[in-house]
Amino acid sequence: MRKIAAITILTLRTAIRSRLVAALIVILLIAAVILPGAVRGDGTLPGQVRMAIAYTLGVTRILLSMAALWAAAGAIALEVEDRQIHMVMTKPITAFQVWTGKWLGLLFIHAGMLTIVGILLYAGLMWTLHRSASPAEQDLLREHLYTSRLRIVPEEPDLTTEIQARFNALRQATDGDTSLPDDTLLANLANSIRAERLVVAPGQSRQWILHVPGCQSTVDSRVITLRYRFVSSFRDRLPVTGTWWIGNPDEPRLGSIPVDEKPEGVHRLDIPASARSSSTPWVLTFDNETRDKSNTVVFDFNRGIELLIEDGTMGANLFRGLWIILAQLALLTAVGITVSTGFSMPVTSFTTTALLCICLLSRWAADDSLTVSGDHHGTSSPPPEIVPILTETGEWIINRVAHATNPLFAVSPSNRLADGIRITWAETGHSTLWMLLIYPAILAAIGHIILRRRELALPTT
Amino acid sequence: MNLQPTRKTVAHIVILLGILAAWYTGGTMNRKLAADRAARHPHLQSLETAPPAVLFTTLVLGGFRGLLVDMLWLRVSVLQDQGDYVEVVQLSDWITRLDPNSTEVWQFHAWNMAYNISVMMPDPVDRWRWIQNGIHLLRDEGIVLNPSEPQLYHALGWLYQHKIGGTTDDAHGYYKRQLAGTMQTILEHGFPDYESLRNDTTRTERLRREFKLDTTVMEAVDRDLGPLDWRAPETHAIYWAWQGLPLATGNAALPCERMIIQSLSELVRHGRLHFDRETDTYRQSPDTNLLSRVLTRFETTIQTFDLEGFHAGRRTLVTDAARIFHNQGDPATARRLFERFNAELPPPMRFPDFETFIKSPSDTYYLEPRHNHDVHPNTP
Repeated sequence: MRKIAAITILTLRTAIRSRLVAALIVILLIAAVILPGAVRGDGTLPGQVRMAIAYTLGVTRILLSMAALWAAAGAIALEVEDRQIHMVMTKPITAFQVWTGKWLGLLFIHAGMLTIVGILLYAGLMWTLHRSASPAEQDLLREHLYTSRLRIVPEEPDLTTEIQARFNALRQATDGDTSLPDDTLLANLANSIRAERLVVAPGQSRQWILHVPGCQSTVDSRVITLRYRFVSSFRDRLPVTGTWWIGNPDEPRLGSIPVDEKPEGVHRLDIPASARSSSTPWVLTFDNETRDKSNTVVFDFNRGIELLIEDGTMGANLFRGLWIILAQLALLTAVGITVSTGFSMPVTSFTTTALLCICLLSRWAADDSLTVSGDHHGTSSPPPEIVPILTETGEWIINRVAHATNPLFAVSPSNRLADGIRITWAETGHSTLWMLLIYPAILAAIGHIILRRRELALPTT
Repeated sequence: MNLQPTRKTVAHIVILLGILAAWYTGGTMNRKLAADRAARHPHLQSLETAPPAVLFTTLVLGGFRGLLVDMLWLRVSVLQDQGDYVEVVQLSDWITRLDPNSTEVWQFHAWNMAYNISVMMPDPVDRWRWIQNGIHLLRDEGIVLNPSEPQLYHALGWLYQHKIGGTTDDAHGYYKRQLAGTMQTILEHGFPDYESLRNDTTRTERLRREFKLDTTVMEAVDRDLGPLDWRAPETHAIYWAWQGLPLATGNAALPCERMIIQSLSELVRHGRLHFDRETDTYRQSPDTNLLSRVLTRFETTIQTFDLEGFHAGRRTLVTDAARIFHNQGDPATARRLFERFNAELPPPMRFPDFETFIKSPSDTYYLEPRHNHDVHPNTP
């Protein structure tokens, strides 16, 4: 442990003397102090605050990620190049200890920088709340942004029977020749049925089940907001008139809130304590009025309805968000150091940057991989055999990379914090486990093997 | 690479000379390129006079600006799909700054905010804010960076004429009240007394700062077409079209000319405002004092653009005016206008008498039969 600490301290000392770190601190200070005032929101103070949080954390994350990769890439490679590593490796210290010491050293630097940004951001937000906001704006900010709200989405109903019935009917109607593979067809049918369930015609009702966690005795003291989004069949004719009912499976219509909404957009409804159910799950029902008073509405496929429940403070949420960013930086640093054990500069930097690009592109491509597969099977004249093999291999790789990098992108702290949405301890723990422990441990083992086998005392020209 | 000290010095000198040569060549070529650019695209603003942000992005990003614009534009689309509009103003600002000389980009983003996003807001207050965001983008940035582009003046005028002045948005009454309310705090009754306004720097400054209105241009507009009520959105549309008109040549002037004519016609129909902020009263009634000015404008416009649309617009305005005078209890003027209008109609469309005309539907657009497939015979 003392050996690791020694390497960590050496890394910290080198970093403190480095101009890169000094420059980075200056840039981060600018990002945390000047950027919040420079970005433009939608013209409201809450909009400005949202932009300030999202952009400050976003810029911090990008800058520190680049710095993490760059610093880690040079951590061992530059020492090998300058032959400084000889002074270390000739001592009774293992490659694993060198790797870990370097990683911890860089991690402390990132933690320090994140702490500075976090403190400045928090101070700036508090200053805005107390100095710039009117009393009405203060209330709005406290309720929707300077808080941590749990986001609850409806339970996914079990559609298996319906999907299977439709699937069987379709196979029968087409005599088994649907030109799409079964899994694609089933996925399409599932989406189609889900979409149909989002339509509420005049005079009809739709129900959602939401599991509201937490002890129900305190639920009434919290601000609970129903946020829903729909489009209407006729934009410029009638408003959408209806009633939201809140209840539980036994009594689904305990409390009601009548609504008379514009036919499009995101709507917010604070649910008063008197209209809430004291037991979970909650059943939310929307009764659309008859045709003479309302229109058909189509709830949004991805963000149709969600319940936002006040569940903590912004400070704690900010801490969790910064912690997740630190975990992401820890993983990037681990990747950089590991690559650095095998290559020299600037190959290390290019390799780590390329790896990051592959991860980002894989995530982007993974979303469309199913469609590509469906299209290929759907063509009437089958392409040459080599194409499906390449496509399928490519898809397999993309999906595996996307899956492996899931922990890195699972939570976007800047978006969550800017929306006042809670980053849960479970998510923080999950990120810590994968990005601060498991992946770095694997990478440390790989780095250890490479560094131990690497010929460090090569003669130079 | 280990070089001897002498060799090292020579290498440094060669590198330095190389840098100087590249610098000189770049500077010489840049002057030629700038001159060529100015000759071929006189409407483009010189980079030397561009604001720092535009200068910085142009120099630093070079050809990658287009790529960045595409990425930002995609993000705008994604955010809009998700119903998350807070970032759109900032992104639109960046996109337009990265492509500052493309009028279509300015027009699109202003339109997007004023039309597409505003209607997604349930509350008129929020809608009005988004319309203002669109106006600000065009008026305070787009026109400032492209002062010689008539399309931008027309696009800005359109927001006043159609979005605020029109009735397609069900919150249009709120917009009209907001505009009239703010203008009324500067020009008490909407009609400026230019003599006193010239000596009142506070009000002149407010007009310039809040509405980018130049009192000299306002006075010229009023002298030619007015007196206009500056609380009305149509007057603002006229002001901006008036600004764009001298910048356009040939048919490019048509949209601005059309905007002036249409807005003036609308002011004749309901340009007299009865607005009281205290009681939240906003009523409009016809302003027939402007009729002769509008008809003169029609005559001069038709001399330049002899288009059936202008003829039909004039006929429709005259008929509307005849009805207005009839309703106001001035049958003599109404009959005189009717006779003038009826004589201009092609024979199959003519009314047999004034009484038949008054009883006919009032929403007819009097196009020549060859232009109008839905013309109905006016004879009983």
